[in-house]
Amino acid sequence: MASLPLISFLFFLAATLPAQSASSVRCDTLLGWNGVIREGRFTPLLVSVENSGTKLQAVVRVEVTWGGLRGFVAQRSFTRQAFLPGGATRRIPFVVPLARGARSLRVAVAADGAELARQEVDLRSLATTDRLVAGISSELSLDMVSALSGPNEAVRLVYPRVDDLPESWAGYDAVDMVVVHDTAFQQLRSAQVAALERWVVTGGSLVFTGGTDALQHAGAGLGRLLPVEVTGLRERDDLPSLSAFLGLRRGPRGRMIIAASRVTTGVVLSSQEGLPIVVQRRLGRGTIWFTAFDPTLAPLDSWEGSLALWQRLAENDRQPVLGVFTAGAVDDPWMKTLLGYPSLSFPSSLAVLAFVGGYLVLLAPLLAARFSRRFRTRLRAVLLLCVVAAAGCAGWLLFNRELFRPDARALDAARVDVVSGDGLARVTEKIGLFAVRAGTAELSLGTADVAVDEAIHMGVPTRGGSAPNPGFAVDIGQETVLGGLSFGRFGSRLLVLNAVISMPLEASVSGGEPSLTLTVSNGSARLMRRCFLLRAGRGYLVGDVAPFETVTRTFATVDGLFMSAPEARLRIAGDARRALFLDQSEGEPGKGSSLFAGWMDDPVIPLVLAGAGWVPDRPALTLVVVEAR
Amino acid sequence: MRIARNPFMDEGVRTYFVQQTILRSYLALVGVVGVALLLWWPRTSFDAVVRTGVFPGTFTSVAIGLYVCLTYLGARYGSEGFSPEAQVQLRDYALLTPVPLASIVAGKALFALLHTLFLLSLGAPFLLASLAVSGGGLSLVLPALLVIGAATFAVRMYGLLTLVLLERQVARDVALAVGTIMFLIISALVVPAANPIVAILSILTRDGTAVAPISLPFGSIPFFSLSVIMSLLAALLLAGTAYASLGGIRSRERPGKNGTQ
Repeated sequence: MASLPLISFLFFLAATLPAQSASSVRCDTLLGWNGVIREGRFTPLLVSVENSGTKLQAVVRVEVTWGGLRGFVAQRSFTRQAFLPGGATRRIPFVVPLARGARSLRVAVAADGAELARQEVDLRSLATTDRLVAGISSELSLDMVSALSGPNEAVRLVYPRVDDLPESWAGYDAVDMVVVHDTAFQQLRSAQVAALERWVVTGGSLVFTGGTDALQHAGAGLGRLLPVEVTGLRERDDLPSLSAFLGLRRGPRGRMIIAASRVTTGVVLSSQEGLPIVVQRRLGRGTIWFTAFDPTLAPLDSWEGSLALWQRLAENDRQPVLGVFTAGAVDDPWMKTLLGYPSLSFPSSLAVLAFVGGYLVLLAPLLAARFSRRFRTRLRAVLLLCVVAAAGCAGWLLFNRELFRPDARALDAARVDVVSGDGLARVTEKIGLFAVRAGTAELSLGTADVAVDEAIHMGVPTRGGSAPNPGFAVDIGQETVLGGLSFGRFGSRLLVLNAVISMPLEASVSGGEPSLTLTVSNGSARLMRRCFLLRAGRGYLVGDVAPFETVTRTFATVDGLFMSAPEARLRIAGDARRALFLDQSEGEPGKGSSLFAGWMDDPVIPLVLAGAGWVPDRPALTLVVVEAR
Repeated sequence: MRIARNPFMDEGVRTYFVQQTILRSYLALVGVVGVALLLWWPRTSFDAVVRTGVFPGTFTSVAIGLYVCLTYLGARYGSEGFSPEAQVQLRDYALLTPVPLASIVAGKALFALLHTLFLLSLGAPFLLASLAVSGGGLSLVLPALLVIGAATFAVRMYGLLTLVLLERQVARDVALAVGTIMFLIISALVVPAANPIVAILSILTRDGTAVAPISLPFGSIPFFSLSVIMSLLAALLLAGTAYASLGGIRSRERPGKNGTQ
């Protein structure tokens, strides 16, 4: 009887323990920009995991599902390891590609193989086709930005919390413009600042507004992005230069406080009595603006030129990172270029005919010859077996090793765009995986902040009937690991990597007729091969530029090769493969501008492909294009 | 060693490696399978295969070609179609000699097994040559050879049974043709996994994934292996029937068996 309480207690313990452990972890999600998402864009996702139990090492897994309409249901998953201290809440950031047709998103927290918490989000109810502008402001004061809405495209303004700003540049993919009004004296984390900077490099528009709140910008950690150094405040009653800048008749009139500043990296587009009023800084393909005034306050907020001002600041032709693919790997223009060099083709029927003929020629005399009676049976059998063994070895070696190998090929082509002096480069790298046999692969990318996308043909199965399996799992840690890349027979995958990396390359061109001088400074640790200069439709061969080398070349203008001629392009590029890739690559220099370009032997995003039988195509096809000053 | 000295083994070696008709049949086998390899060799580019999803079926075609050829040859060899005098010898052995019937059937069956292996080896180089272009690996060869070999061996034992039961060559040919075709049709409809052609098709699927294994009470076996098991069981059953039939013939027709001699 004494053991009854003990048994009861044990029963109670057994009944309550699982319930406790199951409820000790809760997760919550903040998807997109204040819950707003744009289809076909990378989207930030913050997963808040609250652990009210004991500390544990967990895996946070995000799964995005899309497709299903006649085509295939596809899934991508992203995982992050997370240490969850007891009694604490951790926020784990993700950036997930929400392709068109994305249906649902599922977040699960698991430890030791058991799922502890999960949450599902229906994406269709959150998606918008509006343009997004993110306003970083302590007050809802940027509403006039909504006036940018056109008849066909509305503009939606969102006010994210400073703490929720993405730490990856791809997190801003859905946003067309970021306006920094004030951060309520909060300091951004360095990763958040870097993400903002890298997003601008990809073509984003970042606007810093002035007024008294301009004094916060440097303190918030955004100083290195500002094109100016704010030195103080001034009071003014009008800004006639602003009307001239926008081509309007009247500037704003009334008492206003403007930020006095000294230009550091930008170009002054409008100034008033020596004070920069509108400053622009080009960074990569994007633009950073600084307005000395606060457009949210009177008299600017009610000024008739307010809309024109915002239209000017919002001018942007940024393309989303998440691609829209109409074709698979084999039809991708870049991959087409690579597939032919060396050609991946089957052995000819002539080789097979020779093999079959040779086998028959060896067999025929053995089967037709009359051997001596004593030895004929045994000798014939032994010789037959020898011929069969030789034919087997030959068949194997010829058609599985020499003339054709079933190894899968990994082709990679990249274009690196650098604007002289930025120190940052926008990288677009395509990796085509072409397999002969069915199998799986794992791809490790030597960087964490890389936006991975995949070309998927979401169509009806081909006659072959083998549905592609476009899913993969991304494990984000110190580096990005893409696992679960599976292939059927003769399968292909096309992964598109986008990243912004450090690339200190500078090029400047001076002179014109009859000669021009090029100065290139390669501050990177990479060798640039067979470099060339493109200017005014002509190409000039520069040669190799070693790491940390500065070279100066002077060319007679007439010596330039006309790039419109195929043979000249071939000579400039070096070989047919590069020439074809150059043809595919967009970005001829505009009139009066110059492009310096060269080739690198290795991919700029380090990648390691694991799995048996993968043969990377080397040297890689990496074209670096520097916009010369 | 006793089996190796079996006179029927020796007879088989002397017959199948000496007679010109049989030797020519080897050449024909290699020629036909070689033609199958040529006909189904991919002529499109690798890009086109990836783009269209129409994969080269070279390995499967060569395997099916080898199976069809070996089934035909196995039936002919089993019923001794290439050496009509052997039929007389077999009955003579049963009726005129004291050789145990088990030795006769075991010798014939063992030789048939070894000869089937030899025939498989004649076709194996083509299977090996067709692997890579079909998107297959070395691991496919053994299952294919097992399926083809077991099925050929079963047909060969069926031929042996017709040799015992039917005296006229034409009757044996008809029985072999009808029996084999009926087996292929019925098995494809009733137990597809037991059908050798279905089993060959399952070895290298279109998307490269394995066909789901067959669940049995004691566990699961690969899809193709049911055909191998069924063929071997059929071969044993047919050999046993041939043995019983020979026993019946010996007891019925042997002179002096009932004390009249």
